[in-house]
Amino acid sequence: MGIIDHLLSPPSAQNLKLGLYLIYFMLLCLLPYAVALLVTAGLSVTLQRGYPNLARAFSRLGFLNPAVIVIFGLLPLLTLAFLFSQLLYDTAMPVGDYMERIIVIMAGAFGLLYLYARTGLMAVGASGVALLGLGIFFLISVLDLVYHPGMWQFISGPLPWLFSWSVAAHFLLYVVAGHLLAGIAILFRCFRWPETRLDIASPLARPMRFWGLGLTLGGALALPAMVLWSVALAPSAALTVLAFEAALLAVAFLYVIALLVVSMLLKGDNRHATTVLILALVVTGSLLVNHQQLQLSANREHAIVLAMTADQRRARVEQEQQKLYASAEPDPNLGKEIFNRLCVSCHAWDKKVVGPAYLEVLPKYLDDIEALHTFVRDPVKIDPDYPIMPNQGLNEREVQSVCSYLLQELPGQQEGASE
Amino acid sequence: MNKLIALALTGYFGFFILGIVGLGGHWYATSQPPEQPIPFSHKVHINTVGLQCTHCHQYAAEGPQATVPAMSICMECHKNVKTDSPEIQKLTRAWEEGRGVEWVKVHNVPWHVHFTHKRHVKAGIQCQSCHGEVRAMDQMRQVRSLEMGWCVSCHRLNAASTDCLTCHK
Repeated sequence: MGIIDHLLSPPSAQNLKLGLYLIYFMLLCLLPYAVALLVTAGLSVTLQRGYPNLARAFSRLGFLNPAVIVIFGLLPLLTLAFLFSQLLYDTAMPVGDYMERIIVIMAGAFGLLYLYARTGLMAVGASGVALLGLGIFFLISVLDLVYHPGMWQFISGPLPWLFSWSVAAHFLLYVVAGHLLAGIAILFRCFRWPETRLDIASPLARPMRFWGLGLTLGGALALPAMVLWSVALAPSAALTVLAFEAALLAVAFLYVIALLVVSMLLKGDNRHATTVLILALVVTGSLLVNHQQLQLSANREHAIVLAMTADQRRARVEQEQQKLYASAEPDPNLGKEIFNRLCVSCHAWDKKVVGPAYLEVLPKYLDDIEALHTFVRDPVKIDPDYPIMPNQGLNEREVQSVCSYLLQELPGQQEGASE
Repeated sequence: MNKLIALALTGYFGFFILGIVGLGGHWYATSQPPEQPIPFSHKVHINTVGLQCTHCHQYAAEGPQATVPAMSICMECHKNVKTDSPEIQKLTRAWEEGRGVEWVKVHNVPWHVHFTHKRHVKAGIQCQSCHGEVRAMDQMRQVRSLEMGWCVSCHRLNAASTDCLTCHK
């Protein structure tokens, strides 16, 4: 463990922006898949004793196809591990380490559930479901922690954060969404998808329809309460207008889903299954937009600080490279250019501006240009009557050029002042 | 019957929609960062200029209030820096007329909480622990809840007293 943390460096502003959008797309692949798998596999294991045929049908809804496991499960999980570790870089929390454990747990769960779908062994299925539930719970604790930067200083990792109301609300939200998605997956696969459509006379058609419609309606009815609860628990610094709009959109679409499912129940058909599937994906997308907004807003300052750290690091590397490879010979023209661009904002030769007059402070450096270099490289407060000079971020050649220029100009300016 | 179900569903989902709208309205009314009379960027003053927090908030380590800086501290630099900016001209006008700038307080703790900056600064608590990464803020906003549970977490972490009378006199 600890592999990911060793691969990281502070992300730049562009890197972080891209990362935050990638998190959105990766979660859009992983979370709906993982929670729908959790619910269908859970049902399959529960129903195995009394209804083995139904249990087998639930375990063969396509979620456990090896390609699906890799594309919707493992790849997004690996990407998220890097993205979260980078987002929480510099927070003293071993997130990379924690994500590595989540990968192991969830990969183990996918493996066990795949084995269960092939063999039908109940103990294997139950262990897979338990591991998957645990993995999702841990993953959601990381998601949740990302938009609680106020807590980062109090906890040494996401583990103590597991026992918070915020994680509980968030976990329940996604488990309920899993019921909705599982129901829709059953309806769509069993009654709309041409290759897997059940014959109306099939003994499985009736129970599958019952479970499909029941799970969808139950999910659609319970989800608004979960959305309201999780929005109410979100820290106010993390909320944005768009976060509320996304939550509203999700509830509005859930309303349409509920109406369509009731209509299918009353009329005894399944003709809206495809529409409901599309609407459910929009609901999931909206819930994740809500989450992304919380994350973006809560991390606004942290992202800027990380980008500043990355810039400083890059500047340091460039400075070191310049020291190694570039000539540090002072260039009077460069010195003059820097003087006119930076120095004159706060200094004049013969009078106090923000900083002291050059004629007053430069003479002491005439015999010790190295001391002037040191001061310009890393300014310190010398005279209490003046504010500290900000570090100008000059490279070695620029420092030497501007210092040489100043000391070259000094005698002429002294003569001018004495006349 | 169908109409009745549709009505019941409308009422049910309407309740949650109203709940979210209500929460949003409450959040919008109470949690927006206040507009200041002059847009002051902490980010620029800390990062570009290189000022320390206590350069302006001079009493943070010495008294209960960190205090906003005296106009003379602003004018120390702004007599000469960015004098062509209309916002700095507002500041200069106030200074010349002997008025202060009416900054809007961002971080407020309830009246029944006894909080002193001095005690916290002397205990080595960093400014950003309670105020967040101010050096990255163009517009100052409150990013920590400053609620009792949050304060107590920090007191526990730093082995400070959690006795009621420590904060509620």
